Amino acid sequence: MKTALILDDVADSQIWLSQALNTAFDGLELHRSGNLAEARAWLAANSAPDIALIDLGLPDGSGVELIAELNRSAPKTLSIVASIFDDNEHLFPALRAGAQGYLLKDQPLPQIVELLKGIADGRPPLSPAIARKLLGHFQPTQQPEYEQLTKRESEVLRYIAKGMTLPETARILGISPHTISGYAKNIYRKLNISSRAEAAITARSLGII
Amino acid sequence: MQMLSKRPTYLLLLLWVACLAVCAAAVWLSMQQNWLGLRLAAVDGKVQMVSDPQQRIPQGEEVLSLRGADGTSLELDASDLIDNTDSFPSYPDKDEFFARQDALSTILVSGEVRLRWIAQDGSERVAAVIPQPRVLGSISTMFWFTLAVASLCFLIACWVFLLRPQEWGTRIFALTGIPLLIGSVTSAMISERALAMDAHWLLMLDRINSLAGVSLGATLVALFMSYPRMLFAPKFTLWLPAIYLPWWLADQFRLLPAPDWGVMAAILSELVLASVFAMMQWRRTSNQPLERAAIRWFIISVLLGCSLFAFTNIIPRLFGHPDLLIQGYAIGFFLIMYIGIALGLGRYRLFDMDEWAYRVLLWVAGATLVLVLDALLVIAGLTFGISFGVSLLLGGWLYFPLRQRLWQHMVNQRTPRFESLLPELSAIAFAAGSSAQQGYWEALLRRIYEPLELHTAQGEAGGIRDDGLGMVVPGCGELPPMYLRHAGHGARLFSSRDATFSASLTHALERMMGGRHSFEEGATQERQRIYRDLHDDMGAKLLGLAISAERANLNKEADLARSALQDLRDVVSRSTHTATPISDLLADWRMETEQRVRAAGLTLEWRFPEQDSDIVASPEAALNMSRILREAISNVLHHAQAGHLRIHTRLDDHHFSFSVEDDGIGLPERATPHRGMSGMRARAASMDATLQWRSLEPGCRVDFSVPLAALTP
Repeated sequence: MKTALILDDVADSQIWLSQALNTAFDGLELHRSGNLAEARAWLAANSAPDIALIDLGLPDGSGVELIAELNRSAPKTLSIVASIFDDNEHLFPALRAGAQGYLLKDQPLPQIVELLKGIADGRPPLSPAIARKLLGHFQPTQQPEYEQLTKRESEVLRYIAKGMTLPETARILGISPHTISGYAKNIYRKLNISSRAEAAITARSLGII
Repeated sequence: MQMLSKRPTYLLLLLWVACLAVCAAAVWLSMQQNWLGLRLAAVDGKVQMVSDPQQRIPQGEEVLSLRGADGTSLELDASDLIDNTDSFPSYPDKDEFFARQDALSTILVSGEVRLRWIAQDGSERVAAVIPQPRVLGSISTMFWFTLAVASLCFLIACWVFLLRPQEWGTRIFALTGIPLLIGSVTSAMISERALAMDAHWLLMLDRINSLAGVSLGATLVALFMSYPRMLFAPKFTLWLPAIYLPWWLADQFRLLPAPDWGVMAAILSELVLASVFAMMQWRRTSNQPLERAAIRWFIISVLLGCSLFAFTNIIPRLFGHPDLLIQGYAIGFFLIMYIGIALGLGRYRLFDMDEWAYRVLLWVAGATLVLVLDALLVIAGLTFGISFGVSLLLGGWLYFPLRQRLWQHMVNQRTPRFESLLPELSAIAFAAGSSAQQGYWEALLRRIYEPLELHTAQGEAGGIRDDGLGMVVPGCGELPPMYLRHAGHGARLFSSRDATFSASLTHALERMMGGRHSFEEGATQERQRIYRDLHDDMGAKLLGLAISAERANLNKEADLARSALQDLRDVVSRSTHTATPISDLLADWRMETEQRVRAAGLTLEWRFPEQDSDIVASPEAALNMSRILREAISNVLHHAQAGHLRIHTRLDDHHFSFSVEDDGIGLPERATPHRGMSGMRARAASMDATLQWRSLEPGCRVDFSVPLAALTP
């Protein structure tokens, strides 16, 4: 991790998140933005950051827009949602847009650091609520225009939805923690792909494309 | 009704052709006779001229005798003009009739005939007529009418058979068509004879006619023996020809005391037998509403046809009046009977049978009432005109209110009044939870219709099924369409009335649900607006608090701020839900607790309930329980100085419970209730739950238990 972008409209949060990033990764070059316009301007002028912490509630829009843009223009950037609220209405759109993880800003610093390191390492978090939403999203009844979950991946989601932690689920299924993290990462990827596919279908049906 | 395949249609055409052939033969045979070219009628025992196209004899004059070219003459008698050979006082009378007919027909072919008649001034005149063979135009309307009706009945019988050839009932019904056709045709030919017919032919026609009459009766008896239930084994129907064929032969061979003991008596006995069997069928079908409805059709149509026949033919004769309708036309009433039986066999709208049956019964009862009153008044001495008028009046006064009362009692009693159901409908529309709603709806349907079977029928349209054995009530909102079967505990059929009533019930329910939905949506939107306004502000502030507390290493305060933020999150997310499954709640609780406890440096043991369950909790209940749990954990993290936390959750048939155990310093000596505890107690009380603190050695334990019923009010 060399460069990072923090997008949050509250100064305290910016400082807090900077602290977390600096603790997680050494020698990080940070840039802080307070709104979407500023962030877009910076991105236009500079190369894409390796990691971006994006708040959702911004004065000139939702952070989801930037996540989507980064997903398209700079797929190598690790976009992470940093928010107060972890309910599905807030998080799921961000995940669909391509966020590879999320964190709650009010968590204690050590936990945030651990989370950041984990995401960078390919171990994204998965909460029961998100898992339930994902299971609902990948219902076989919808048109399989995009990749569906494998049986294993659905199994993992079901255990998480019931309240098992990732390590516990790995133990129950008899796989290594590394493998299960791989599943989680893949699920997020599929979610992102499915959203893009749906958007394309919608655009086609509306006659835009 | 099933579609006819090609073969039966050809068969029907064949039968139609055969029928036409029979009629054509009858017409041709009738035209073979010679006739005088004029119409005579028997009035008051005398033979009168009715019409003479050639104006040789004025109308209304009495004709006395005929005299043939060969010199034979015969005095005319009113009995020569009878239009059917069904009843004679004695066999010698019958023989005389035929002999006279023979003589008359000989005269008619002899050449010029001389008619002697009495003019108005009392003088006897003579007119000379040369009999000619008949022309098509001379055949009376009544003849055509009889032929048409008989053919129609025959074809109806065949058609119904072809619709359901495998049923005994339709087979026998088809069989009745043959004697009906032949009997009617012969009867028509007998009455169409212009004054006389060759005795040889006449006798043959008479024999065929009487055999047809007895056979018709016998086949009708057989029909009642086998439809809708086979009362006896099929071979018992062979008893019928075994009895009635010899009976007919006995009449033909003059073995009986009088002709009336023959055909008339046989037919009467067949009527009695048919009634007995109809009664037996009725009793046998008390549990099968479909068959019962079919037998009702039968009985009603037979009753109607025969009573009309009786009113116009038999009863006037008993009172000494002439027939109200010539027998030739009266055969039209058999058409009613045939149509009725055909509809019954064809299972046409049997589910509406109830009302039709009552209507017809009440009509017949009303007509009978009028006639009985009339008869009584005539006996009491009033003249015919006045008595009829008075009886009509009295009948009307008595009949209509009685009919109204009976109608309401028999038909309307079964369906409850719509207004009385409104409270139950609104209970259904506003029920909490789809299973409760479904339960109330099913209970209401059971109460109204008392079906033996009731289950959901996804994707079905509303309406009657299986000729009234079943009915689909349309769905509305989340309620699926329901399929009901065997109304009234299997005793009755569903009628169109039931279908319309249930449709209007669902319609009303849908309107109520729509109202509730709009209300709830409005409430939700309002709630969301309030929360949105709230959380943006409060969330940011609480976060600031948490961050600064963290930075200042005030762990307790940071945790407090965090749990407040979690409360806020709960309120925001739960406000959009209608009900949360307990399993979801447990999963979320576990994750939150895990993170919190780990951040504080303790170890957590979490146990889920042993079985999965579908129990849901209302948003209020979910929120209350989350806060109680959170508060309990806060107490452990802030006050207990514990190292290990054990949380067990349990779910059984009646309760949901969890316990929070720690190995810390335990409850203080003086149990001073601090604000957290009283808050928890208040929350628990508001949901009928129990909350208890217990001191362990070492540590403390909080037990929470709530009845499942309280989770979904």
